[in-house]
Amino acid sequence: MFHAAPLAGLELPESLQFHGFASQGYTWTSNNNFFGNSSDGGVFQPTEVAVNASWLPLNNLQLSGQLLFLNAGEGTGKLNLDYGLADYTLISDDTNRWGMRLGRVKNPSGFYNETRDVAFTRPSILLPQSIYPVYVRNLALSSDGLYVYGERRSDYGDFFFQSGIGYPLAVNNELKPAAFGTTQVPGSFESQPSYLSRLLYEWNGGRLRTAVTYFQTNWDYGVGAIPFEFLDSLRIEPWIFSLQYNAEDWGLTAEYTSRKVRAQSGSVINVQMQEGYYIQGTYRFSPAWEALIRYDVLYGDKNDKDGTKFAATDRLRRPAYSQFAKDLTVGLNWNINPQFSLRAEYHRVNGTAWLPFLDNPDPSINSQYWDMLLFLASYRF
Amino acid sequence: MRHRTAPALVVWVCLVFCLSGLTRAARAEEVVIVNPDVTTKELSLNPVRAIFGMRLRTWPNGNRISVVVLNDSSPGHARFAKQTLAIFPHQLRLAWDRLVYSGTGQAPIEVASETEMRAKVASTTDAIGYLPVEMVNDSVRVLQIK
Repeated sequence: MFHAAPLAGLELPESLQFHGFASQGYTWTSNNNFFGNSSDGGVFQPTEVAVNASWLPLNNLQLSGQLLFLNAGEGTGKLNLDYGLADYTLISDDTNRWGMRLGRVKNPSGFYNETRDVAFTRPSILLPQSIYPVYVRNLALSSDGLYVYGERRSDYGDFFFQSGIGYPLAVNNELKPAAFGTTQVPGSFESQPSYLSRLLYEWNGGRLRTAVTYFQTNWDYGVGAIPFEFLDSLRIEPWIFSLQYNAEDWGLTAEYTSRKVRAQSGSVINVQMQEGYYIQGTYRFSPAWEALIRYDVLYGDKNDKDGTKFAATDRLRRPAYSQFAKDLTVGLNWNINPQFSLRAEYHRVNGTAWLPFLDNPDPSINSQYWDMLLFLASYRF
Repeated sequence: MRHRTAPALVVWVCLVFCLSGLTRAARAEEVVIVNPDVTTKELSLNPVRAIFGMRLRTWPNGNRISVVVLNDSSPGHARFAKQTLAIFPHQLRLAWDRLVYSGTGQAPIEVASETEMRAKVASTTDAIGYLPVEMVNDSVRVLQIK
C-alpha cells in the first residue's frame, strides 16, 4: 500500500491511498478449453492486474476508482474501469451506518463477487462456477447505477444491507452463446434497469457469516430498432443463499443458487430454472499454508438435471452433459508473506455446463470428463 | 498399578495447568491507545471492532479516525486481534481487502514496530492504535473498552 506523501513539491491529500494487485496464472486442461487454448499444452492465463485510488474529500465522502486488466480466455485482454464511485455516508454512529453509492459499483452478490478478481480475497484460483461463472462474468460483475446501504451493529451481530438499481455491462460475446448457443446471430443485447439486494449477517467479527442475495438482470434484444424475431427480452433472476463458518484454522462455506431465466419472444415466454450449489472446506495447517477441498454442482435446468430431455430436441446437437457440471476441486495456498502468495489447484469435472463458449466454439466436440490444473502467483500492495 | 498412576496423573495435570497459567501471565496484554487530543474516553467493543474493521470512520465529534496497525504477521497484531477484538487476524485482513478492492473503504496505516506505533499515534490527530500495556507512556492515552 502507498499512502500519499509530498511528491516533488506537490502536496497530496493525506487521505489519498493507492493499492493494487497483480496475478499471473498457468492453466492446463486435459481436454476442453477453459482459458484460451488450455488443452493444447496449457496457457499462461489468467492475468489479473489492477490499480486503484481512493480519496476522502470530506469525512463522509469517499471517491474511488480501479482500473483492471484481465486476460482470461477469448474475448478478454482489455483494460476496463472496474469501479468508479462516490460513496456518501449519511449517518454514522456507534451502532449505525447508512449511506449511498453512485457510479460504477461492484455488485455485492453472494460472498465473493465484489472482489472476484482479487486473488487474496478468494479461497481458490477459480471461484465455484455454479455461483460465479466465468462464461457470463460481466452479467453479475458491476452495475452503473445507485446503491443504498445500511449497517447495523448489535450485541447479536452485525447486519449489512445493500440495495441498488443500475445497468449491468452487457457483453454480447457472453450473452449470445448463453441465449442462442452461438454468437452467429444478428442483433445485440441492450441492458435495462436491473436490481440487486443483499442482506448479510456477521456474528462475532465474521466467525459466522450468512447472506441472502436477490438479483434481477434485464436485457432487451434487437436488431437495430426491430426486435429480433426469436427474442425480445431476457431476464436472469438468481437468488443466492450463503453460509460460512470461520474457525481459527478451518472454515466451511456453502452457497446455493436458484436462477430463473426468462426469455420472451412476442407473447411466448420460456422459463428455465437453473440450480447450483457448492460446499467448501478450508484448513490452515500453519499461518502460511492453507488447503481447500470443494464440491461444486451446476444444473442448466433443474427439471432436466441429466440433460437428456435437452439433448433429444436441441437443434445444435449439444450433448446431454452440456447441461450440467460437477466439479471436485482440491487446492493449496502458500501465503509467503502478506504481499505474495502462490497457489495450485486441481479440478476433476464431469460435464461442460460452465465451459466458456468462446474458448470452445463447437460444443459437440467437448469431452464429458475432464481435468484442469491451475497455478497462480499473486502480489498486492 | 492403577491407583498408583492416578496421583501421578493428578500431579501432571496440575503441572500443566500451572505452566499454562504462567505462560498466560507472561503474555503481554494489549490495550487500545489514542492520540491525547481524542475526546472519546471509552467505547464498547462493537464500535472498537468497527473502527479497526475500517467501517466506523469518524469519532462521535465527527473527526475522521486514523487507524494505525502493525504488520499482519507481527505477534502484537495477532494478540490484539484475537484477544481484544476477538477476530482472527486473517479475517480482519479479508475485511479490509473487501473494502479496499471494491472502492467502499480504505486500508489502515501500517507501521513496522510498537515503538513506531506509539510515535505515530502520538503525532497523528485523531489516531487510534494498540500497544502492550507496559509500553504506554504519556504521549498517548488508553481508550477504555466498556
